[in-house]
Amino acid sequence: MGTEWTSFFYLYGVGGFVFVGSLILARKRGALDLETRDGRKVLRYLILGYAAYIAFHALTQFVLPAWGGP
Amino acid sequence: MHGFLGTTVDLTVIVVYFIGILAFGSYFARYTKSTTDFFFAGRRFAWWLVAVSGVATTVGSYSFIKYSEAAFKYGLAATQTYTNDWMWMPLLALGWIPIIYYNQIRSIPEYFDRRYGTTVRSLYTALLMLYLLGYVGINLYTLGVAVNALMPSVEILPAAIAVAVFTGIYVTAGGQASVIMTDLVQAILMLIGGIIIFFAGIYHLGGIGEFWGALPPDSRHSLGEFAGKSSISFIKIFWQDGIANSFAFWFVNQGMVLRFLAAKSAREAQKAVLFNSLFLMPVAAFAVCNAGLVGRAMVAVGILPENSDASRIFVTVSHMATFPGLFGLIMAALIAALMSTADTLVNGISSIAINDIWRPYLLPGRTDRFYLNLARVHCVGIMAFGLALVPVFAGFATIYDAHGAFTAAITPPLVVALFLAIVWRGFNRAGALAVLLLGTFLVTISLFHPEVIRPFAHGVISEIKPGDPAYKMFPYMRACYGILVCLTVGIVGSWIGGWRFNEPAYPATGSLSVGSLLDLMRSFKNGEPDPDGGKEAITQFEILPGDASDEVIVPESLASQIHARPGDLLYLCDCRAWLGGLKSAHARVGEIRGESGPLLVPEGLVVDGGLVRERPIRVEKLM
Repeated sequence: MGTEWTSFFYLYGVGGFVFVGSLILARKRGALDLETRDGRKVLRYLILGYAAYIAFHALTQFVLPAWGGP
Repeated sequence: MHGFLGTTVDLTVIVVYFIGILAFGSYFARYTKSTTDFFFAGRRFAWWLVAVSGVATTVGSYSFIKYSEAAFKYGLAATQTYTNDWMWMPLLALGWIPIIYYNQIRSIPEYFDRRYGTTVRSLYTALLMLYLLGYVGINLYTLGVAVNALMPSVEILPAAIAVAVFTGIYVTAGGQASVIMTDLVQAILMLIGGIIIFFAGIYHLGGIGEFWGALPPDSRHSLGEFAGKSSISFIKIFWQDGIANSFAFWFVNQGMVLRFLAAKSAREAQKAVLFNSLFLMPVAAFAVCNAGLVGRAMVAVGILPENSDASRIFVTVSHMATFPGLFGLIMAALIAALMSTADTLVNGISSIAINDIWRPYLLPGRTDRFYLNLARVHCVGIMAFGLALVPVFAGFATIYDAHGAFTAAITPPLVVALFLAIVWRGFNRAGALAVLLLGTFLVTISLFHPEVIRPFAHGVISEIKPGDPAYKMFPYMRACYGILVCLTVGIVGSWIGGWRFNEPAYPATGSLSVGSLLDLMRSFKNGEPDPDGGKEAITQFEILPGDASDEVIVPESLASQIHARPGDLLYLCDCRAWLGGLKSAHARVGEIRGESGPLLVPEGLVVDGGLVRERPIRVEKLM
C-alpha cells in the first residue's frame, strides 16, 4: 500500500476515532438528544460534513493527481 | 513609487481602505458600554456573522504569505491544515460550546477555577498567556514579512510596529463589536481576493487544463508531503496541526471562545462552527494557497524564474496576475486578514488579564468603567510584547517552521488538560496538576534532549543541520510526543490522586464536562426549558419608561405565536436581518397581559440593545 493510502487511512482512522468517539460520548451523556429537532439536525450536519471531507480527500488524493487536465 | 511594488493607484487604494476600516471599526465603539460589550459583544450576533468573523480569524492566523509559500513548495498538501479540523466538531458543537455558553464561562482559566480551584487556574493562565502572546508575536512577524514583500525598502520590524499601532487603535477603541464587524468586511474581501488571483493566474497560464498539467505530480496530492520527508506523508501536520493546534485553536484560544460567546444563543454558535468548518474553511484553504499553486505552475511553464522566492510568491503572483488598483485592494485584504488574527488575540489576552487576574485578585471591586479602561491599556501592552517576540521568530527558516515549532511545544499540556476535563468526569485536580506541571516539564525536556521524541516520530527523518539548536529536531512530532506523554501523566496522576489522596472526581455543582444538554439549559434558565425553542414573530413595541429590569410584558396574541410562558428567555432584535443582531437584547417574559397590543420593553433594554422605537422588532423564544 502506497503512502497516499496510508495517509488517507491514518487521517480517517485516528481522526475517525476522535469523531465517532465524541459522538458516542455526547449521545451517552445526553449532550446529543435525538428526540429533539435540533439534535437530529446537528447530527445530520456532522455526518454530512465528515462524509464531504472524506469525499474531498479521496478526490484530491487519488482521482485528481492522475488527471492530466480536461 | 519608490520602494513600493505596485503603482500610485495601488498605494492610494491601500490608504483609502485602511482609513475606511479604521472609521468602520471606531464606529462600532458606540456599542461598547461595559466590559461585557468590550469582550463579548453583548452575546447578540447571528450565526452567519460569527462564522464569517471566525474564518477571518482562522485565515489571518495562517495567512496568505505562509500558505502560498507552502503551496509553492509542497503543492495541494498545503490545504491540509484547513481541512483536518472536522474530527473535533462533535466535541466542540455538542460538548464544549454548551458548557461555556450555559455555564456563562468567560475564559478557560475561569473554567479551570470552577472545576479545580485557584492553583490549577493560575497554572493554566500562565501557560495560556504564553501561548497567546507567542501567537501575537508570530502574527506580527508575518505582518512584517507581508509588508516587507510589498515594500522591500521597509524592514520587517518597523513594518510590524506600524501595523501593530494601527490594529491597536481600533481594538482599543471599539472592543469585540469592532473586531467582529471589521472581520466581516475583511473576510469577504480576503476570500474574494484569493479567488480572483486564482482565476487571473489561470487566465495567464492559458486555462485550467494547462494549470493542472503544469503542476508537478508531487504537488497534486492533498495529503502529500509537507515540510520534509516521512514514512506517512502528512503525519507531521496531522499531529502538530490536526490534533494539537486545531484543538487549541477551537477550544483553548480565547479569541474563539469570545466568538462563541458573542453569538445570541448556543444554537447560533453551533451553527456558526458547523458552517465555518464545512463550507468556509475549504474555501479559505484554496483562497490562501492559490497563489502558491499558480506560482508553481508558472515556474514550470517558464513565466516565473526557477529561483523565485517562495516567501514572496503571493505578492509576486498577485502583482503579475492582476492590474493596478486590484493589486492594491488585494494587498490591503492581505494585511487586513493578518490584522484580524492579531486583533482577536489581543482582545482575548486582554480579556484573560482583566477577568482572570485583575478583577478577581489584584484590584477587585472597582467600577466597570475602570476595568474597561484597564482592558484598553492592556491592548497596548500586549502589542508591545508581541513586537518584542518578532526577532525571535525571525530566526526560523520559514514562517511555518516558526509557527509549527512554537505550537508543537506549547500546546500539548494546554490541550490535554482541557480535553480530559471535558470528556472525563473522573479527571481530578491531581490529574490536572500532573499534566500542567509534569507534562510541561517533559515537553520542556524534549526541547533540550529531542532524542526522547524519536519513539513517537512515526519514522520521520529529522533534517537538523550541524550547529542547529536541539529544539529544531522533530519540531512537528514534538506535538505527538507531548500529547501522548501528557495524556499518560494526566490519567496516571488522576488515578493516583483519587486512590492515594482521595481527590474528589467531580465538583458537586455545575456541569463542566460533556453532559446532559437539558440539565445545562435548565440551570441557565433557572426553570424548565423547551429544547426546541426557536419560535419567532415580528411585532411593534412600546417602552416602559424608567424600568431597568430585563422583564418584558407580552400580549397573549404574541405569547401564543411564539409559545412563550412567564420566565421564558427571549431575544429581541431589530428586524433588519443584515445587521446580524448588532441592535438586539436578551429579555425574560415577566408577565403575559392583555389580548393584543404591543410588546412592552423596559427602557434599559431598549437603550442597551440600540433598539429603534419606530421599527418593529423580531422576537424569538430562545428556551
